[in-house]
Amino acid sequence: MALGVGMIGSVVEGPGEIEAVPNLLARTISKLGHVDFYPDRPMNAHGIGNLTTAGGIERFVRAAFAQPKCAGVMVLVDSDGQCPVTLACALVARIRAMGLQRPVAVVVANVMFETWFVAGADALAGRRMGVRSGIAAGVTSPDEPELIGSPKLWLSERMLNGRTYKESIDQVALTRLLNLDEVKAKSRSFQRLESAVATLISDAIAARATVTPNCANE
Amino acid sequence: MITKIWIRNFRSLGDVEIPLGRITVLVGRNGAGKSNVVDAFRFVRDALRIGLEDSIVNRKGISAIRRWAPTRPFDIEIGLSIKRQGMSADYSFKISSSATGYKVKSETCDVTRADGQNDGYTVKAGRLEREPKRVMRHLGNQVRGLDSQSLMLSTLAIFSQDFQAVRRELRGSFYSFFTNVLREPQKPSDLRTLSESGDNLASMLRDFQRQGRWMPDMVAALERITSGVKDIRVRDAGGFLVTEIQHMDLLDDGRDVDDAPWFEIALESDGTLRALAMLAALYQRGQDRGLMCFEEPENALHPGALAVVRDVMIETSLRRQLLVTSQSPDLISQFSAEDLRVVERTHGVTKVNLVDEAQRKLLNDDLFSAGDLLRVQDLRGKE
Repeated sequence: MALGVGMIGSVVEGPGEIEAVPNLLARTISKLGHVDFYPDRPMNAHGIGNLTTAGGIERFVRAAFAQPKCAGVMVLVDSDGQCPVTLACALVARIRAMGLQRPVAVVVANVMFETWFVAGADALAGRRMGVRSGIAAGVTSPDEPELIGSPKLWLSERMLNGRTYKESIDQVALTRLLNLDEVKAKSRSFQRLESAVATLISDAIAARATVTPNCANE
Repeated sequence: MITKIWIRNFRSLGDVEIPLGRITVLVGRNGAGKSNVVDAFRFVRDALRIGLEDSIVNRKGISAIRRWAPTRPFDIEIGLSIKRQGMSADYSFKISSSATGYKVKSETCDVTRADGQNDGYTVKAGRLEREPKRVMRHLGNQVRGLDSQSLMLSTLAIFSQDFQAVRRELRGSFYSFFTNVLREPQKPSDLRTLSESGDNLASMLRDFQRQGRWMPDMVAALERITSGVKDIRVRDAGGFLVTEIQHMDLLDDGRDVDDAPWFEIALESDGTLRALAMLAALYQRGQDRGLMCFEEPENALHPGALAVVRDVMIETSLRRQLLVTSQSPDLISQFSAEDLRVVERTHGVTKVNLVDEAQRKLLNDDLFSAGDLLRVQDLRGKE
């Protein structure tokens, strides 16, 4: 693809990501110093099953690329108990078999998107989500956030007055408050997100239809 | 909370037993009998609140609520199991009917307390067969020749905390909002709970505004459903209350103006109004008011809004038990298979069951969502 303004499409799993992922993508793109790319509205697969099923991931990636300005697509799924590498490489193999003209990056959030909130909890503690109260003041991020099996529950337990973490409402609000560098320092899967976006954009600029991660050893 | 209801020969229900969780979603085709299940809960609530006779009259007579039978009429039976801190209880009654009217054939309540102080009673055909131990101290030998057209529980609840607790659990709110009611200016009301038609919504919102705690959460949830909503306020207008919604108004350069415009609620869409009323119901105070029921909350809402409805319902269900009916694939996909109850009608009789094992495996294996199954095969109840 020639240089110019391009969109980064995405395929996600759930309702909260519809708003949260564009926020994350836009901030990551700008952090990487790009001004010619912006996130497209994500495709919501409504659950990993709709991607892993035969023809599933292919259908969503194709739909994301249906937008003529789409320069590359990020597929973001939760590992949620599965091995992140196996999950990513299974999807990569299928996307490669599609013989696409534009790049795709598969990112597996380990354990799930909300793990990044656990990793970035220091910046969320005591902050309001808009005018609402959010994560309680004084909450700190554990040393190994990716070991927290149920990050949504972890977040709910740290919200005040009978509130629970509600992905449809809170996911974008907390994403806006995240300090991306703090999350990166504590979550390898978030490091992968940033490098995936960087590769996606450089491949798009160089017109390389690479599908990452490499998965050479799989 | 109510952990189980069993219903026999009430409307289209033949013989069903439904285990209930903090949140239970009844799924079924039109006319399958979802509303009849809901009405069984409402019937118990009404019978204990306004009396059995009026509850039957309001439903157009006993012949309209007992299941139709070609030969002699069936007896209606409804029973519920209850659990709350420190106690559990079973309460049930049976009503017989004839061409001339109805009679309470039996009524029984058993309370089991954690401290071992159990109590209970049985009334059969107007005779107290088993006496409630601790209440008898108050009543002495007065209890003879009981009215066989009434239930005893509400009366006994006056004298016994145990029966009072049972009665409390059997209260409930059954919401069905009409947007014309929500649109009109409303008279101020001191009622602390949202009425079932929403005709005190403005007063409730004013209450929310004053006590503040959940108002921001409610606005945030509404904003996810109706984009651009900034705030909600209630204004006095000649003795009436008018609800207004502030909508974000962006300047040409994308900045938000400080004095964004307020619109009267009458100008809002049906979906926004229904969502606002539902959120007010879910966020209202009062943990001890029994079951809260919403029939087809998906009406007039975009499928993208249903995740918000689900999330707020799950949060509310920690404080109050919820019963929901739905035929929206998008809404039912939001709940786990354990929360769903399949309502089916075969040969005119309604059955209610958990999702069948084979379908549940498809759900657990992520091959289908509950909504997919509803579309491709319809959900199937466990035999």
